[in-house]
Amino acid sequence: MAAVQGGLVDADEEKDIKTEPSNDGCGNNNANDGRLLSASPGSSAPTGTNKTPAAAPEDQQTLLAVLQFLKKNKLTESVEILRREAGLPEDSLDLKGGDSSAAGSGGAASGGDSEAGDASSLLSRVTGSSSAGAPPTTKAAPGEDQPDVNVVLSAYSQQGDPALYGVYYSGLKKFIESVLDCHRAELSQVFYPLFVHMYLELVYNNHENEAKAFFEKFSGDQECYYEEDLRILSSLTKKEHMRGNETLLDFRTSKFVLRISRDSYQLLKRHLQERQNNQIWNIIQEHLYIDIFDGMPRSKSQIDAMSGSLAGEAKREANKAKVYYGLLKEPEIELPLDDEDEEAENEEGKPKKKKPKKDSMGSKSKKQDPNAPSQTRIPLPELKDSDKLDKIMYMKEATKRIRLGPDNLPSICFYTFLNAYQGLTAVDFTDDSSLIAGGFADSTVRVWSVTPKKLRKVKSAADLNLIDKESDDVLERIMDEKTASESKILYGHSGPVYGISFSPDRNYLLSSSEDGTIRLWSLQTFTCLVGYKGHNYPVWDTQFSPHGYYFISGGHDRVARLWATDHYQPLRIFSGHLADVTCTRFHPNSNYVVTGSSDRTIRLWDVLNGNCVRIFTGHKGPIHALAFSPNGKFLASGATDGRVLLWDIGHGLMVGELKGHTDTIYSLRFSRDGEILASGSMDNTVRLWDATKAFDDLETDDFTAATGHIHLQDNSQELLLGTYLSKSTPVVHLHFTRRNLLLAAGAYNP
Amino acid sequence: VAVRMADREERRFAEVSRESVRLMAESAGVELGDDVAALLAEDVCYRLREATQSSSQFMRHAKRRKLTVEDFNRALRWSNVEAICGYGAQDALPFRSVKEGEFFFIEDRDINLVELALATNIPKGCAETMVRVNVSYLDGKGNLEPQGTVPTAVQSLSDDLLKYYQQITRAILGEDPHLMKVALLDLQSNSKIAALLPYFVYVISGVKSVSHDLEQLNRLLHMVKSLVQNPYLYLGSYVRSLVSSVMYCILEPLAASINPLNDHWTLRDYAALLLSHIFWTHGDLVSGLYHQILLSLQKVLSDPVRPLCSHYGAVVGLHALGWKAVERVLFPHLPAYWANLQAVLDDYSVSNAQVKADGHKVYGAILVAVERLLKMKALSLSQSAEGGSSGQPGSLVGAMGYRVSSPGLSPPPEPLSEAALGIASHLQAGGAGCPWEEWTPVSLPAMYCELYSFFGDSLAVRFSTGPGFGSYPPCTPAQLGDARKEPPGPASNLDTTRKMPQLTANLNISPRQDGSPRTDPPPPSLAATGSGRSLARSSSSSSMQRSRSSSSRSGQRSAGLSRDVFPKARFTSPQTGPPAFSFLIGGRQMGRRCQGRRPFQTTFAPTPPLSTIPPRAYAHKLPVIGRVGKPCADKKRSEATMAQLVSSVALFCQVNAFACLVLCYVLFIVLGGVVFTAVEKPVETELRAEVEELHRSFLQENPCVQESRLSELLGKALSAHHADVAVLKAEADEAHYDFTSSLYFVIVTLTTMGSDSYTPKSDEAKLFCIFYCTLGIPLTLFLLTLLSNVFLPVVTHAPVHHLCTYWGLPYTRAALVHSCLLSVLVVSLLFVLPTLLVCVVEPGWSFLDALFFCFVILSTVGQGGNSLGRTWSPTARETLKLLTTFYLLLGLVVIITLKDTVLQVPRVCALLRLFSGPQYAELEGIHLNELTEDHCEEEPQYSQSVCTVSSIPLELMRPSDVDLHRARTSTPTETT
Repeated sequence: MAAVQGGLVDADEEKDIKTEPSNDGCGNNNANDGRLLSASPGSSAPTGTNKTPAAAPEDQQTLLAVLQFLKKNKLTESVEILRREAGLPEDSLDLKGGDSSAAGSGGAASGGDSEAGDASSLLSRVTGSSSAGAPPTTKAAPGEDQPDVNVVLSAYSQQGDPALYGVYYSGLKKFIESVLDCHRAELSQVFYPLFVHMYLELVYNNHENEAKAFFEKFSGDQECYYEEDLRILSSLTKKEHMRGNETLLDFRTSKFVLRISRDSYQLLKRHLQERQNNQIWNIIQEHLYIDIFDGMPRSKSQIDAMSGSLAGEAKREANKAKVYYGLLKEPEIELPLDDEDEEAENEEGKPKKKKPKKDSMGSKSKKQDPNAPSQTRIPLPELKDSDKLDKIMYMKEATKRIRLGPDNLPSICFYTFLNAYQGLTAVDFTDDSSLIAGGFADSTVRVWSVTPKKLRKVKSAADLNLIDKESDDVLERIMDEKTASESKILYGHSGPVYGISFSPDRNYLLSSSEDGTIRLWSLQTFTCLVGYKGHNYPVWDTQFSPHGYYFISGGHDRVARLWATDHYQPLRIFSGHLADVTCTRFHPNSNYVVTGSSDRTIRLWDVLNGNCVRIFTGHKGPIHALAFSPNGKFLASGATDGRVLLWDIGHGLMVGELKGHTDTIYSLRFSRDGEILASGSMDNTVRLWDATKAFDDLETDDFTAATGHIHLQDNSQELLLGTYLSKSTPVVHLHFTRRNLLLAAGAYNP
Repeated sequence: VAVRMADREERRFAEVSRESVRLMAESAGVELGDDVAALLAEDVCYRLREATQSSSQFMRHAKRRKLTVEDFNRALRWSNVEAICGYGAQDALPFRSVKEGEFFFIEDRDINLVELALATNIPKGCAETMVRVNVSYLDGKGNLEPQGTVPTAVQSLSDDLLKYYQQITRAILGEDPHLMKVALLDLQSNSKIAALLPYFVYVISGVKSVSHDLEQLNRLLHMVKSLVQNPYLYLGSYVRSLVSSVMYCILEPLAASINPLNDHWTLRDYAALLLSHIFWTHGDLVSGLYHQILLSLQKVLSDPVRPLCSHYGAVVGLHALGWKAVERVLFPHLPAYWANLQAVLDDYSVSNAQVKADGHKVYGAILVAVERLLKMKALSLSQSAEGGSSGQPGSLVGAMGYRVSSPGLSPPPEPLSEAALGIASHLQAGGAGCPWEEWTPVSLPAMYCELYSFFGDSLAVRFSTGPGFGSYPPCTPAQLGDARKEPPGPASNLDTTRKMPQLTANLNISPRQDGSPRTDPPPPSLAATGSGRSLARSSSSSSMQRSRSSSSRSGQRSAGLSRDVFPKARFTSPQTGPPAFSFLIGGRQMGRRCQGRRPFQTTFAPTPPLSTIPPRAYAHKLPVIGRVGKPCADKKRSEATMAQLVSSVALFCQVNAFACLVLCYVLFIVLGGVVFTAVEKPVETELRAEVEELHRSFLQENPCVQESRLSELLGKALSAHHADVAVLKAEADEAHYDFTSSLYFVIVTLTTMGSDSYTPKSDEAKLFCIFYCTLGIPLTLFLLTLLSNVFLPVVTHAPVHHLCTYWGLPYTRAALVHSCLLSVLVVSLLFVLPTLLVCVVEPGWSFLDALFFCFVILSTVGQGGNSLGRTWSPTARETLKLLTTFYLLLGLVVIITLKDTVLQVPRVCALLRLFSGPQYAELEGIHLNELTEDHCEEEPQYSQSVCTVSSIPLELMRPSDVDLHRARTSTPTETT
């Protein structure tokens, strides 16, 4: 789609500008609906070779391109399969007109194609961009990617006089500095992508010295949050280096997205046309996506809040899809009222206790949340008896939960890993806080029992035969007392374990490792059950769905994958990040997953169809922590820059920024009722934030929702409720117990 | 990698120069052109940066700040580059530069594998990774612990901890008492020192190496106490080690106790209390600890070869462990042991005095233990007889009696009985499977009878002496009242006092603390309730003690009575509530010579201290007293075996060691004299005969020569030769080697003074002399030292104490003043006076000559030829010689005493320790007073009681406690 849009702008920018806003609403919705129709919930996963690009409208185009590519390479079988899966008509590829009709039926880029003219050139472009847009394939098979990279790089082949680049750039700079203040901030956004691309053109065309001079001269002007990328860029001085450089590929294969108001854009265009400054104009046309909106230009602070990602801001349309962020209806379980509970309540005053109980259960069970997905939107596993028991336990505990608030902060228990020798890489608690697991750099996974109950293995098969299976305590009898110990070590990985997650029913443990595998461990036998292979590169994070069965993983190959425990192949592959997927989280209703990446964006994916439904930009560093609020409405994210950002999922907007940490945030967690957000960081502190206040203060008017312009007030200090220092123990994990006691974990580094 | 890391910090990057590329190429055997090298260099830079970039990702995900070689290798691996091997170290590699060559290299030391393999300091393996939880922030407000604490059990010691450890050990073992107090307090309350526990335990196990130094032992014991009382420490298996250290202090014949002046008794008492404390509070950590302790105590007690101080330790230890332990171990063993003890106690010889003093100590300890046993047993019996504890008249009466004794304070007596029951049930429950399974409880009357047969009235004082007691009606109120406490009325008090033998013991139990903590958990804050209670208890007995002492020593020292006795007897710490009980033995020697701190040790005087004992106290209770040489006291006992005989002989030798030594020495000297006389006499007689023969023949041959003229001539000639005019004449009638001369010769030789006027003339005598001196000289020195030690209490301790007490001088000052005075006195008495005497005796000598003579003798330099009284008659000369000999001996003893006195001055000690190091300073006979110099108000009590079994922790007494205590004690005194 990016390419298509670029083409449109190329051909007729006036028209594009007109059609753009109208495109957004209906086009997107259509695409979504179509997707909904075609892809049934239980349908099998897209195959591994297939790429699902970022935005829904691009799908059809890309699919067509892929089909054509396959056909060109005589892979007819694949063509057939793909066509059947995508639900495209048989002849969609054969007819030239069919292209547009197919695209039309998909509702994307309506009316754009006919003007585009040369469809084949378009397709070739799409081919190029789509194949390059999926770095996993290029990375997975380094030998095969040469032609594609060449296609990518060839875009730089056009060149002007290398000596004039600096002149062009400074000319533009002078112009932007001279425009009205209100436009200046917006237009300044152009500097960074222009600078990058001009530099790359110089390098590509072997003007090494000019490139160096150019870099020296202008790199100081760039925003400080691009420093990291600039550093990479600065080391890149040879054409040969460009090949295989991932960052560079990111720049080339994705268009840098800018949001500019119409007025400012006109100003820029006029200037460039007057000056006949084709060099810069070409770059803007080729490599930039300018998302034009009507209305007041944005201020500098507004821009800064949203920018910082590897590929600019998210397009507005990317965040328009509807997200069912509501919670699923709780299954109806008769809660056996214990006598002792009753008594306890009688003593303490019945009404007070009863009320919250009714609230928490009644509202959920009685009426369906309008924002919630339908109960069967994705198939979820049936509740077992043990799960029901656990739910009952949960509810009982919930009645004893402490109401947290600014005046009632949680107690914090710190679980310190001693003698870990800097090797602790991941920690997880079970939901009921009975077990703690740690992943270590020495490839082991260790599980500790936090309660006095020791960890026991199931007896061996021979011994199990001897057990009376009719007895009531058979579950107790199958356990081997001899193996009881406080901790168990799980061996199996061949690289550091970076991600770890308990299943909700506490029967399984997932671990993802540098060796490219995700392993499923049984906590009954303490053995490895499955090794899920598919990432082929280090897997940075994994997490079980809150309902079990599914889990999500993300890794160095820049994709996130959705798995089911009983499938050895992934069910979905979420592709679109321009760099490693560093952390992954499930939405509380299991219908969505969110991934954070080192391209400094956060993406929310729909589990059902694999679409990316939200792209959040604003972080200035790789994202290492994500957390959904318990009501599913909000998302918190933490990054290496030490900031926590809060996002409204429904509106797709940033709603808050919490500054305070001085180092990477590795853990975020909302309290059970969502009033408190706890953040744990490398700077050895746990900070508590007033989440209620952060979310209550916000009034989301329609305008903000429509334009996506946000006004953030800097109220971090008011929201910060407490900072708690540990002694040289980075906080790796945080967890709220069911009664709202905060558990923190980390390894002591003397 | 380190260089690459630096890249991240600054914009400018480290570059690999083309020269280094060329160098590398050359080392690989390739010639490179300039431009090629430049290209390569640039490319290398780029590749390195790229790899670093991607490796940083691995670092981030491992949640580290430090980029490691492994991260770099992983990055390389995933970009299909061969990994770098051999640089897996955690630490950054040292990067060295060569100045001349502007060349950098990684230091790569040679490692001698053989040395590494054989090195003894094998690094410890990595500790098990573990999870520890600590509540960091409670409710977000009140922190349980200060911010940023790490739970203990971290294996590696941080620098802070090490520093702490050094400071603490230095403070505890060092000089400054104030510092020690602070260190101990901190050790007691610090919550973060668990990691150091093994180190402290190790330090404490050093008791074995400082057994000569009471002060250090005491400090180490205090350290044990602090560790035990620290509520944050989990001692675990270290309990065993601590217990063994404490047991060492209790039981071993410490090197320090060789010197009778050292107050090792207090140390043993303290250690025993500590032992019981450890056992009650931490005994459950080690299974079977109780039985192990009992076994080892029993072993010591039944070993007659062990010195008395070990036995004392065993008894005190048993006592501290509770009356059940006494009943099980001490009581069955008593008959056998009694004989030995009695043998010691009844030996009135001078030489036995020291041992006998020890024996009395043991006796006192046994008495106390046994009395408590009886009391507790009676109580427990009455309890079980009555059934319920609440409605029991006996206990009620007891309680009332108690209230009478301490009005206003009414500690409930129930805990006492309950505790007794609790302890009994506990022991009986634990008794199964223990080595004392065959042990059967003796009934109280039987026990009492047996004990009474040993102790007589001294025991009866504690219990009711009524003859009806043998039949023991369990709880006649009056009797129970008696059993509980001292007889109530002053009249009866006086009466018992008169009847009371010379060793009285006063037991003072805080019931709460006596009970097992498992059945009767101590109150959480003893500062408020527990200590008050124990104070109340002690107050009653203290008043008893006071009244008794005042009655028996009427008017002797009534002024001193206002001094408080009991601070010394307290052993309760306000922080924890361990079962600590305080007791005090008030044994006394009939008001005689009591002002020494250790009266038993001042008994070098010929009168045996016990001679004043009314004979019936022992005699009619013990029909046969084990005397020296006839350990047949137990003849009527069938258990008297051969082993006991042997043991009593051994004991006798042990007890009379000093006397034996002196005797041996005298014999030795006499033997020397006899031998010399015997060997030399014939030679001399022969010589004389020859000379006389010559003389006679000469006269016969030359009748013209007058005999008188010849004698004159000879005399002149000899005097000219010898400068001894009297010799020739003496030759006629004086034998050199008569016995007196021999004695003189022997002594002069043995004191290494030497005399050249007397030399053995025969070969045998010379040989014998060599042999004799080899043996004799060390013996003499040893004996002299011992003698000086005997003098020391009289000459040094008592006056210093006096100075402290009556003149109010701090100990250091007092010691200094005393030693100065003593020096002056010694100089005047030992030098000036004899010099004057010599002047009188020998008118021909000038004063300087006389002084020189004295000096020569005392300094044992020896200057032959100058003997006194040449002009005097032979008999007078003999006397003078003997006097000189005595003068020599006495002078030497006094000088050594002076030396010891000076050495005991704290400043001199400090100086000495400065030279010899604090740990191993030879601190002979040092006072613990050195630590408590500002507490001299507590000193007078020593003049009251003969021995003090219990000591307070030296510095833990707070003034407020004392005041409080005084306020409490004043009331009961009035009532009684």
